[in-house]
Amino acid sequence: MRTDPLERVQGHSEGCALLRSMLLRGRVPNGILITGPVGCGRRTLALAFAEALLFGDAQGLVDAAEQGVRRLRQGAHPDLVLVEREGAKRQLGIDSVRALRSEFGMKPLEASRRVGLVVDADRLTEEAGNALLKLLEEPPAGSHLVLTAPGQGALMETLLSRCVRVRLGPVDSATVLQFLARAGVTGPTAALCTLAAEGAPGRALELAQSGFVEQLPAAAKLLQCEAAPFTTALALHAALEEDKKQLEETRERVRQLLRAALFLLRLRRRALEGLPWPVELSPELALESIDATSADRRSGQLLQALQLIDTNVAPPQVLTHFAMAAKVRSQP
Amino acid sequence: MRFTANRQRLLDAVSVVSSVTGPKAVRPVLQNLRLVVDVSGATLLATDLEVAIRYRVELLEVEEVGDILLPVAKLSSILREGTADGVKFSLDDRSVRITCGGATWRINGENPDEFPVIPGFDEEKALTLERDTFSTLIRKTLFACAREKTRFAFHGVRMEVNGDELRLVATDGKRLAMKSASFDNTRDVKQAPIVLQKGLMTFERILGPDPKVQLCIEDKQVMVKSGCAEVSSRVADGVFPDWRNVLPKARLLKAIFPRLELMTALRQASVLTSEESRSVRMKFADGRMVLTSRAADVGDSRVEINCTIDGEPLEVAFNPDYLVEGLKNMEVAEVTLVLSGAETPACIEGEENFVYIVMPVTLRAG
Repeated sequence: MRTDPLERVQGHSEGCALLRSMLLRGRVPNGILITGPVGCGRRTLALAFAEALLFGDAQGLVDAAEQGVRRLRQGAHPDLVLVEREGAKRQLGIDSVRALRSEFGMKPLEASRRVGLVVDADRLTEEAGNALLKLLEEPPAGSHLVLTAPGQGALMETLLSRCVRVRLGPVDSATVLQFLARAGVTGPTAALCTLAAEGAPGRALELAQSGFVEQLPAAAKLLQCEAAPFTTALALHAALEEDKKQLEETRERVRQLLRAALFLLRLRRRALEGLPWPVELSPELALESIDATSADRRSGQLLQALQLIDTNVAPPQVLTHFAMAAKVRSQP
Repeated sequence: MRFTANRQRLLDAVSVVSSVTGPKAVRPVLQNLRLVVDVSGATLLATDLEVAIRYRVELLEVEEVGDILLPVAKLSSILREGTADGVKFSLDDRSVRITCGGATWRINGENPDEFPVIPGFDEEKALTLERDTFSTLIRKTLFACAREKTRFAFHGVRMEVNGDELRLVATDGKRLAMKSASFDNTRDVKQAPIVLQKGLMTFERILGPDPKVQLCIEDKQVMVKSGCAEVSSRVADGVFPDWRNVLPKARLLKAIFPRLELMTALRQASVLTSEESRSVRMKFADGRMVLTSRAADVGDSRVEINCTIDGEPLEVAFNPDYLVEGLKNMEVAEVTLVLSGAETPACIEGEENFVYIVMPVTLRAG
């Protein structure tokens, strides 16, 4: 049975319609940039589009039983080159773009064209961006580059000018909840993660899988630690640090804790504004002692702490600095 | 999957196959080889998506057939470290137990469905030619390819099949090597793909004792079968220059040299050239050629060599390395240097069906 791969992508009907019309008209540009919030489904949409481009008939329909389609879905098709960051790397370097250029120097092996998918093109180094630009400037026949990025801000102007933009917005909560339910996440966890992810299904699933909800009590403790800020911050850090040698992992867990605290403050702001609560929260997470002014102030301090953790300040220092600042400001 | 193999024979096969995988494989799955065992033996498959190889190995005993992906580097080390003649493999789910003498290893395999499809050799489209002819064609052209992948068409060798002639042409934009041979084009194939450098190197590597080699030339790939190995190489996408336009139009001067003497003279003169200006100036007059070179702040050289000159006196400069590389690949006692001007391509002739063209270096005053 032939199906439309773009129909697998939920919540982005406008983006899908634009890409589908390119396929149906048979006029697919050499460069396409898909932008949208982190976790909203940019990569999923790009892969579905690549599938339709490589295997689609005149209507853009593909046969899922076809061997090539199966291998593409497993990430093992020779005519789809995936360029994305490895592991914890924060940037996309020149080597990955060179590999892409090499692949594009050859004729497609199985399909009639080739697709290069550059995930998070905003993370390309300047050198890698310039190498990619060369491909966009002189694209080999039958080749298409699909770039994804959260926004166009961090992309080189020259790359932008050679790509057709497809903008994705946040997905509605019902779709995110459905997406989570398919992945086996339901109940209060699903509701909280949906709210925290702000319309990004991938982000919601990542939160559910990374123990975001379980971190909320610790985040509440951090926000209400005026009595013993220093010892509370250190105790929280000790609980997050599983192995002293794995500094980056600890840093990531502290980052998650700070984001969880930021989310609790958002919920507190909703409560203070009289908006309905999305889920029943335990009293310890309600932060009833925090008023609107201090919620805003602490949100600012949390954003500052998140900046510090991103600039390689040691995790215990970030936590103690935040806790002490909160105590100082809360004193009359 | 359960079988016993001769360790050395399997190691030889893994060594050949491992040449098309590498530590910098684009996808982690490509650092594996696929081991397919059937009742009559085993097939090893590997690819880096540029070149793919299938290698057939005979086994001592097959108890159960199977299919698994195994890491090439680990498998190769295990077979190398084994001491007994026989090595036994048994697959349990995704884990392979390898026993050789008193040693036992267990390595984790991967799902073979994740491996790219490696096309089989299509016997129905195959052309047959002499192994030595094919090897010579590769050896005499491959050296002239561009090393870098910046211009992909120059990173390969154009393989032209037209009528009963197979012609290989390679260029890096500064020189061009072309060698042709006649063969029996039984299937009336007419193709001219650009085969990638690595593909040709692998073709040459697998040529075994069998005096014949089978060749299958298609638009998207070229396949070669020799003995128990089959290699397919993808072809470059790009425009290859038409070598007919590069052949010298005019023949202003012809100089005949003993090949080895010319090589020696060029090497002598190239000693005093610099990386920045790697050129040797040639002056032809009165039955001799005078080679001069200069390296700034180091010194200069002058080498004279007798030759038979036919034509007008002329002065021209070349990168000596390009000339020496071309001469090294000729198997004749005498060569003829044909010049058509100081800034137009020159040609070295002498060997039958072999043409080597070099672009001169711009002459500077002095």
